[in-house]
Amino acid sequence: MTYLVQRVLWTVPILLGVLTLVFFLLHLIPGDPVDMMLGEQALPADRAQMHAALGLDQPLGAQYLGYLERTVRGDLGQSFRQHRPVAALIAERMPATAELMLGAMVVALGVALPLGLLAALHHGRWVDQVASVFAVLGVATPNFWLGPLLILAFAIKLDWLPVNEMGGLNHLVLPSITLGTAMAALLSRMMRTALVEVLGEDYIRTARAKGLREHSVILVHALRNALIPVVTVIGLQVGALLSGAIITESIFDWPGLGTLLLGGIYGRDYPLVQGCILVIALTYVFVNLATDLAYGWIDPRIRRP
Amino acid sequence: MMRVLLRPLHWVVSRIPPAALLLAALAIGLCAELWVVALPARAADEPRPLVVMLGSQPATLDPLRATDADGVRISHQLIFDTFVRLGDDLTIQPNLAAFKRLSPTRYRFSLPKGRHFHNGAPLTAADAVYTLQRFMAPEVGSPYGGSLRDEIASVRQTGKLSFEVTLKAPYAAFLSHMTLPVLSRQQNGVPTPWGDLNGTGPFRFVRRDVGEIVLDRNPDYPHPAGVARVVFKIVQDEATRLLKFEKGDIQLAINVLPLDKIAEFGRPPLSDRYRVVESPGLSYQYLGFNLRDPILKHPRVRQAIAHAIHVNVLIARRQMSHSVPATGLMPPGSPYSDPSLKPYAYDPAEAKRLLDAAGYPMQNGRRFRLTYKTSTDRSAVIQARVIQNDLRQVGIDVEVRSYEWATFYSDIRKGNFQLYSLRWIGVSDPDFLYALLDSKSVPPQGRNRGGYANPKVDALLERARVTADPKRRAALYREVHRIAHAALPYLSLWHNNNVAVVSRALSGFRLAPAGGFEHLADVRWAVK
Repeated sequence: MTYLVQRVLWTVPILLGVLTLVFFLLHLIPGDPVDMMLGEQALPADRAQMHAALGLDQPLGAQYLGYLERTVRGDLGQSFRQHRPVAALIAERMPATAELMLGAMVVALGVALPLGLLAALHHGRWVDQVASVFAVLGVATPNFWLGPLLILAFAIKLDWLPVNEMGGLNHLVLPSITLGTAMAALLSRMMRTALVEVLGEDYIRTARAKGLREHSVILVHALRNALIPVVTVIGLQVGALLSGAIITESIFDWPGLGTLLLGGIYGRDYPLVQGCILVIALTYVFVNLATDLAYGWIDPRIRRP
Repeated sequence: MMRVLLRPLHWVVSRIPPAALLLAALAIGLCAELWVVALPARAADEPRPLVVMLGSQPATLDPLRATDADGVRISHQLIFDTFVRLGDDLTIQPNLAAFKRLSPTRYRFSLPKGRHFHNGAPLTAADAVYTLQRFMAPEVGSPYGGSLRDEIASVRQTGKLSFEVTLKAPYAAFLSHMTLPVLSRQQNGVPTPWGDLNGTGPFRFVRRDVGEIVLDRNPDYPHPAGVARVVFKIVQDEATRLLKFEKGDIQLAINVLPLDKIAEFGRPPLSDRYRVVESPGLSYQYLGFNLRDPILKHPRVRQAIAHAIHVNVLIARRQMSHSVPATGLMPPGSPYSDPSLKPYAYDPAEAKRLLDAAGYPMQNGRRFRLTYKTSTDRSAVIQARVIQNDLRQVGIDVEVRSYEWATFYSDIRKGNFQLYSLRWIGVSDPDFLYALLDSKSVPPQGRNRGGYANPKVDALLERARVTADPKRRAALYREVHRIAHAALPYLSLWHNNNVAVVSRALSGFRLAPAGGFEHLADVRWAVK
């Protein structure tokens, strides 16, 4: 319990740091939101009025404190360009990103676990070599190349799946493969390495010597211990999935948080960008918290002081 | 506990060979795949939509605040009707309102009888007056408000369907600023994320999902639109855009596809399903000079750069010949352009001679170094690289710096550049030259980013602004074009044509000069 409380308390300074960093970085980079909204035809008086209306005429420190105060109250502000509450915009887009990430995770785990297992069991043989080639290709293939290639193959040539957009489950297949491939490649290597290492341990030899069946040795004894580093990497990979989602969402016109964030950055829509980053940071922090807890569950030694 | 839970699984798994397990997993995956592929795409009772591709999500459809091209086209041209419109001959024509100039500062507008907003409320002059007052109200913060407040002294309803606008001073371009949508006083139409989109236009707002906007035909429009429903699909990725056409998901795109992909529509299989429609446009691509720069302030240096850049090669290889060389802001079809002007000829020898004469002889293979700023847009960066190569041939070393749009735009507005290239889109009235060339129009007041100052040009522009007679006005702007062509505050590169890709299943499509959606209501299905 103390472990959980400690981990939760750590999220407060992390989130404060993220909020502060994003606020000042956004305000320091060139580009005036009012210029992006009004264009050059606006008169200086209109420009000044818009600055005042958006609160951009206040000193930066006052803007920062006001932003923190509103955020603590749960108010993410109003989008400069879309003239709608940021929380509503994020709530509208978050399910799509969550769906995409879940799809990618299913692809990644669905490919990585059996592939890693097979590679470890056939360590040094051709199956292992094939898995290794897949891993290298998977990690090295950028999303912006893989996405159009998959569209060309499965949506245009074979006509099995739609090109882009969100819709039924069939719309989820190509974006999930695009986003999940790199993670699948990485996890398959992690799985293989961990399992090869575990299979050489004394307790595995003991289990075999006791006459346990090979499947029992692998599934009950080896797999559980091999999963410890894999689970850690899955947690860390959520950040990579979120950043990869931005590119994947652009390719497939997926109406998620990534495209919302990109539009906000291009338009210097400060409240929108800050809101999106806060949600992404929260997701990342809590997934890592969940990973730590899962890690503790898999390996009880972690929970001991 | 875990062991107890795993025991039955272990018992089952241990009795199945691994290969069979893998095969079973593959079979389940395949079944799932077949199931999802078989899902129906669309409800059968929805009207057959005309699907139009957009390149980016409009920030807003709020008629008071929309400024991006697609937002303005959907809001102002389809959901709403504008007071006046730009005709195909580039003159201002009556649209919802007929107009008459009573004096240099007074205009009377008349609205038609029997027109209604989408919510059924009748259109009256009170709505028109309300519209102008809303646009001009400082608290609304409309980007269009500032210039209207500068021009208009008063707006007065003179009858049930007529109103008058009195200007503070004569202003020849006033009517071109009346291409504004007419709003309803009664804000009880369809509530949307952008307020009440209750217009009188040929299409009614239905819904906006992320990634698409849906409009339905307004059956009460005097000439109802040819298609029952229009769906605008936003496709942001350039590579995906062509793939959407290959799949047959899109029926129309105007100026959205990369120019190097247009040739694909001239070959089967795309040519079987689509045709390309092209017409002169109102875009103007230019190379901007910072005239405050110690090197670029010399006219001979700017002329040398003009002679060193092979514009025709850029047009042929980068614009795929979908552009025409420019000599000034106004396109060749405009009465305000000067047909006697000729583009600067590609002449590296003349460029070298001019640079020598300007006091920049070649030393160790180069004369001086310039910085060329551009956005991260792929074609803009390639264009910069080609110009960099051309200028290197005459001894000008160019460093290309590519920035994300807001940073680039901020630098340009602050005058923090030596060279840059951008495009003006949809310029129909030559009064725009006032914002570009008048010495009082330096940002933040105007768009004279390079700091050009010429008292003669200032005087001509001031006179042209108050000259109502089109012939005299055209003569004044032609004179401005001639001076600018020689002085080169900007190097005119080209005017982009409008390029549309249209499904062969459609008829009645034609392009408007600014590449907008003015004629979308005329489109109908040729094939049922």
